Amino acid sequence: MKRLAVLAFVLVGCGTPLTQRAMGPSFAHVFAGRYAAQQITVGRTDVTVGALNPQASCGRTGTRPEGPGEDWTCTVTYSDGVTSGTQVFEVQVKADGCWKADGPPTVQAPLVLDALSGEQVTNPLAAFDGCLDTGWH
Amino acid sequence: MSVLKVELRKLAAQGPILALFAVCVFAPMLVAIVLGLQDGLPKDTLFGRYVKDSGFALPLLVLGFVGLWGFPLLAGMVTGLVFAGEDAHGTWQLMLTRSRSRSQVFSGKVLAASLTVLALLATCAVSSLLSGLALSGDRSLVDLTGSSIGGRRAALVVLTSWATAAVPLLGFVALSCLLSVVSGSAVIGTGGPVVLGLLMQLLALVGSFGVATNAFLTTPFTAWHGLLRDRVYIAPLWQGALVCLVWSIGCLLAARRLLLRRDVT
Repeated sequence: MKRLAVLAFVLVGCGTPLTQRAMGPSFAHVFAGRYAAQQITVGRTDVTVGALNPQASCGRTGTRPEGPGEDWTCTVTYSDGVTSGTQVFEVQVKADGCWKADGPPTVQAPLVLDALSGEQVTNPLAAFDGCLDTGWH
Repeated sequence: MSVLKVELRKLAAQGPILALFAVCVFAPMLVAIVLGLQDGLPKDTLFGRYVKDSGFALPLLVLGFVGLWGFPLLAGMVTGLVFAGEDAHGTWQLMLTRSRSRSQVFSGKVLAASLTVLALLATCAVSSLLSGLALSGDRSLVDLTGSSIGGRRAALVVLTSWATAAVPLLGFVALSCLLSVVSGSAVIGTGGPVVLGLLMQLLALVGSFGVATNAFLTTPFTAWHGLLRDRVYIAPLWQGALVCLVWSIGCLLAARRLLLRRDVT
């Protein structure tokens, strides 16, 4: 009986750390870093992570609202001083708290031309990873 | 202390231990060579997509990968050899009737296994870092917040990340120690931690346990994720250390009790 109670406590008392509230800021933060890196490849060095003011809201398209899954999407809005924009990414969230985002290939080509070097380089926004803090809080 | 010396000397003379050191040195090199030869990138594993952009990505890729089953196997093989090796050779009788107390023998053995496992971890870390640098040079690495870290700082973060694996690794040494003493079989001492480790990871993968998975011995193997950021988070690190401490103390106390009471006549 005691063991059952402990098990029930463990199962019920601890929700998933992979929540929409945690994913939004994590995604926005990494997006900003990668966006700045992408702008450098097209020749703009004045875009800084802090000035982008990225805001992201994330959610799952399936029946469950939270937890690990491949059906997450994140919508991010930002403004870089010249333009402001909204982009939608498909996100896979793994059980260990790390996630992988893929940009829509029509918007974010996998390879872009580096304006400074003239070479084809991997588009920093085509795909990127981040992790959530999954500790007890 | 003298037990430790004897145990270390015994370990150093064993083929499997030397083979483990060889694996730790050459496996990361092999990974680097294979990745260097092909066009594809292991994008599903963390840092896999940056392996050819920065030399600091490979050691983190290897760390993320071996944390799954390599570390439990490492701890199990060494500890299984140290404890169950006496069963295999029928030498407990000799060991436990000498001038050293059983408690001293036990401590010496645990210490020898732990030091060996830590030496293997360090070997693997250095070899992975050097293999990565040989593959892609010391260009800066994209961390888990999308910004770049370079040069000496990246090397420091990579080695620190590897060092954090020492905590759950020692937890697995304790677990293997208990399994070896209980079973008296090197197979269970070696395979047990691997099976239990995989089981814990499987339960974590199911995803329905939520933050309760933080109590698993395998979760601290991912605590280094918090270091690869512009704003570091360390909650998984210290919480993981506490979890491992509880596991280790529990396993070691039980194992010691069993060994002290064992009838070897």
